[in-house]
Amino acid sequence: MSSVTPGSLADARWQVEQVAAVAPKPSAFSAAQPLAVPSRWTALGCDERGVWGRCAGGGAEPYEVAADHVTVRFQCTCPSRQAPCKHALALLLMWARGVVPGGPAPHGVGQWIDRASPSIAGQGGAADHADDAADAAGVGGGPAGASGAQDERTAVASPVASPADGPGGDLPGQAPQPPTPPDGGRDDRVARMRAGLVELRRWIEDRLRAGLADPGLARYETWDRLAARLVDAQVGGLANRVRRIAGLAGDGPNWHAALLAELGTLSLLIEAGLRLPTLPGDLADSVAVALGWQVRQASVLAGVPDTDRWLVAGRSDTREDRIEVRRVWLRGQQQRSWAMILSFAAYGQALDTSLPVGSSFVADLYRYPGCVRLRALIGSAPAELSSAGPPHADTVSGGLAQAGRMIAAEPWLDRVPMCVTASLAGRHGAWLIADATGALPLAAGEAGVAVLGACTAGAPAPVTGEWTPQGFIPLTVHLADRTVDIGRLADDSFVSTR
Amino acid sequence: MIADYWDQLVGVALLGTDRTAVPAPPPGVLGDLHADVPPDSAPAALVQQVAATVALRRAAVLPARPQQPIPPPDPDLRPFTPPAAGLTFHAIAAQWPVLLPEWVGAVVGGGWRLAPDLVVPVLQVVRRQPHLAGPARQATGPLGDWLIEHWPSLAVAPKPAPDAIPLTPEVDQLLGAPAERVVHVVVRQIATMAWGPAHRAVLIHFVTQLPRATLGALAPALAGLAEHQPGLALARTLAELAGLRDTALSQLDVPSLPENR
Repeated sequence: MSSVTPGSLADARWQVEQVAAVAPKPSAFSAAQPLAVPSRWTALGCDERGVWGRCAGGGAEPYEVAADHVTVRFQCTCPSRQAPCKHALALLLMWARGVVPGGPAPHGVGQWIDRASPSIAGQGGAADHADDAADAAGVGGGPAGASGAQDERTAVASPVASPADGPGGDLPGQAPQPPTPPDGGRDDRVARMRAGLVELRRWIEDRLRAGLADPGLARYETWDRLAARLVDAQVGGLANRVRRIAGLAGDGPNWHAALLAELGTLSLLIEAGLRLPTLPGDLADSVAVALGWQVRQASVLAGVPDTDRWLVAGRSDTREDRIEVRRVWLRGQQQRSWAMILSFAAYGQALDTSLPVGSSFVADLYRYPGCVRLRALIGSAPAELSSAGPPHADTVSGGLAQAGRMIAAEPWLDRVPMCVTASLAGRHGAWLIADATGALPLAAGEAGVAVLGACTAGAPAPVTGEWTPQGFIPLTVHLADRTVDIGRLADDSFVSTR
Repeated sequence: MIADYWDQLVGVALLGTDRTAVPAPPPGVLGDLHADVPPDSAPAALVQQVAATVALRRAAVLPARPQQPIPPPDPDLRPFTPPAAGLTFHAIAAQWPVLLPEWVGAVVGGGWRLAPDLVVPVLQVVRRQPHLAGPARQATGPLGDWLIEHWPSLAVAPKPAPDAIPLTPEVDQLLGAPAERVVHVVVRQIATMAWGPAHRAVLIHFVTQLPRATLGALAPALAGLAEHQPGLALARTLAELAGLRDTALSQLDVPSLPENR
């Protein structure tokens, strides 16, 4: 759950998936896990800038480890040449889990942090809001060295994609992003972003010049290299999309059409990203987030709340690289608006189970900026969950029209919530969900459609699902006496799901 | 028209703009875009048209023609299994499939029909255990037949039933003994390692055949074995099995909510 604990230390604290995101490779993150226990550490502490401690290693002396979680730098006395090393990652993991006590930084750590960027203390929490991004993009911005100092034992991590702010699904794959560097760093980032967008546009045009029949497109490394360059350009949202596109190549007889459609969506984001300063505010926010810019939770929670009784209408789990992403779809009982709560879990962790499908609660939701504004945070944990009847359901054509309006506002949305009262139907060997106003193709796999068939037994029933480019994915069947959660559940061997 | 244009764009993208020309956009918003923002190369023109067409097709998608729903299955007036039984089924299927025949039998014997969300998982499990096909079809009722008609992959795959593991005479004679004696003997034999891991399979089948009344006494007695005693792991395994079996049977005793259909 994304609710936030008050207090500056808690506000600054990363989430575990952010730690995973700065790991130089998956094995480094795995190696850090067993070290992330307080019994291996002494002199642990943290403040609003850094986190530090001594880790018992193989040598006689413990390793001195520190991380600056604001400018995203690490130091460790271990011999590893990786940055961050497993000790720094373990330290950040413990901090993310809230087991590192607060306190004043030791002299050496304080000096190391102060050397980085004396001006950052005054930055506050606003950071890289999309408006800032737009302003900075307008300036152009050359490289600035505020966050660039590195030596052999210290490194600055490249921020990666933010946790999919839109329901676009794109983002989640990415871990939430570490806070943005100070102004100089932001200018540098904008310059890199623009260069990355231009390079991606050129790459797509080259592919279309040569043709999608090029066998190189079926190789994962083609896409992986491109994604790595986009991460370097700090447009992690696009990198995540590119990695997903890699999975389309060779998948099914019509993969060229699906891949071309994804390239088209990428192109939209490229052009929008290059025009960020000229876009209307909400659209600029949406584009910036889709590119990989982060909006801090504190900024979201400072907005105007949306109060309603919220029905937990559906849940879907998707695996995005090393992170399992859970989307919980809420529907307001009075305003009938949709909202999405995202949560993440890395290997061995538990997904958020605090919002069971079919329950309802009264709460203030704080929405992330953008055009469609589906993603939200819950202001405070719901006082009481109660069971609820079916949500308001639309007709097929009505639900699709609503989805179309959201997609028109943000054409890169990959998943749009929908609740329709409809029956299962078949045509030419394909399964559909249909009513008197029309029919939608199902994208659920044979077993998923069979479960939907078992729950509805040929009768019309309210069904909540996600509308995607591939079709309608059913998540929940709302029967008169029970709510049946039929959405894909994350693999129990990867994360805990119940 | 847009669909035809999209097919043309896919064809050009497949061959490449070096080999074939980008088609002129149809009149309307796509044509206007091309005229307002003229691209500077053939690949750029293709990218522009692809991006606009994708956005247009996704945002302005219309539903397909209404279709007749598939006819429903015959009615089944039995009550659904309670929600707790669903959780127990998943635990049995994942950890103790040896209890599955008895669980399905209890569903049928208790006059229940499977809750809708359990029907497909049960058919999928039973598919690999054809000896359960009959009881499972009774438990799923007309809905199961209807599902198999529409999703033939849910039908049972031909495969012989597994051989039952015979009980040793020593264990076999305990089946008819009073609960106190069963508990005493089993706990003593395990605690003294007279029965060890080599007896695990036999003891599991023994627990699956014990009278229901014995389960309630055996599970806590085995679970209560002291930490330092040998045989602890085997005792806990059997305690878990006995407890799960007792729970599964008690949940399906008698339909408690006959109106819950």
